[in-house]
Amino acid sequence: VINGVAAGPFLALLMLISSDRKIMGDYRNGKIALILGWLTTALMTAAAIVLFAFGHGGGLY
Amino acid sequence: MMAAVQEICDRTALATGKSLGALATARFRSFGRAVVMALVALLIIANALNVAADLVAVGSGMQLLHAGPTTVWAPLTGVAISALLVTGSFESVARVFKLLCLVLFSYIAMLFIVNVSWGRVARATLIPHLSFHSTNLALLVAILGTTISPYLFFWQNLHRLEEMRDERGGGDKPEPLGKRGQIAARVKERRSRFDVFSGMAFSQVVMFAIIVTTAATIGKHGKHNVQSAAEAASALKPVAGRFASALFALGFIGSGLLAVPVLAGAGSAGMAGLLGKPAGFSRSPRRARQRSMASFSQAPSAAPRSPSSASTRSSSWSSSR
Repeated sequence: VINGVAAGPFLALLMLISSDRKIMGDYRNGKIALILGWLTTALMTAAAIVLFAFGHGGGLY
Repeated sequence: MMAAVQEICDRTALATGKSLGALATARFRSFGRAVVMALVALLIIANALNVAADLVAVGSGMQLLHAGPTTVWAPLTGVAISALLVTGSFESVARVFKLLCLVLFSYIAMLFIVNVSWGRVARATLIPHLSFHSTNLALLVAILGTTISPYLFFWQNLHRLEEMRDERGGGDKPEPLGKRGQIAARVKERRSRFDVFSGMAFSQVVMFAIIVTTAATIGKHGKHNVQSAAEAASALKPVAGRFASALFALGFIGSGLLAVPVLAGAGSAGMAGLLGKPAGFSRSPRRARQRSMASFSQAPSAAPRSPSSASTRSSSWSSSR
């Protein structure tokens, strides 16, 4: 569970790093990577919120 | 999405020759760093729990195969993996990994020995049946959480760095693409991308195989209260035969063995990078004390856990790769 919940912030971190021109130079994110990356960030954050909203995790873990 | 994310992680390694932890230190000021540090600490705790669960899974798999009790195999596996990680080079660790990956084919083999009504599978796959029942939502979140998981980001980055470090040039340090010749850089980028995408595709195939086989066997026979992979394997026995059950057990023994070093290594590498300490499997224990200590302290922590408390994850084995 913690892994799933931590994914959102870690993805944001990753996106900030990989979009940074100073760090990545010519290899920074292209359009597709930007869109998919932030989309995934949003999805995982939403997933974490859903998990908390339902507040159980239903014995799945 | 999984492939895209892993490709980004991979590219950070290729472009900079630095670990994600080190890059985070470079990108953020003190406040940001503190946040990242807390996140990584959380990650290490989560990983330790997962390592424990995986070791117990390996143990219960061995028990299913009549090789001895879980309580013997789980700690034994932990010690063996720790020894390999601390003493072995990245090359030897990687070789063991590749062998273990072959075991994952046993999940795919299962598809051929159980009765699957492919028509129904195709229909259900192409026309997803979404219901927002809370159990289904929780399952969806669980699958997402195990597919796109922070330790995998760190691992992808670490793995590529290790590979680059072993390459010519660069010496002890991984040589970033920008410092290579244009053609060599292009080739490396292409090859790495193919590597990531094919790996992710394989992981999805394996996950799909597991979902389909369990649905076609255990699910069809109305046994829905499966708490762990070991229980799934034993539930398979009356339905699909002993061979299927053994194959399934073999599959999650292999994936458990694979996951332990990945989990331990990822968390430790993240922390080492943040602290500015060198990390890596090829490093000698003395120089990479940070890493070895961390992965060392994680593995044995699994030993005293009882099977019931730790191995209650059923869907995570597959997708964590």
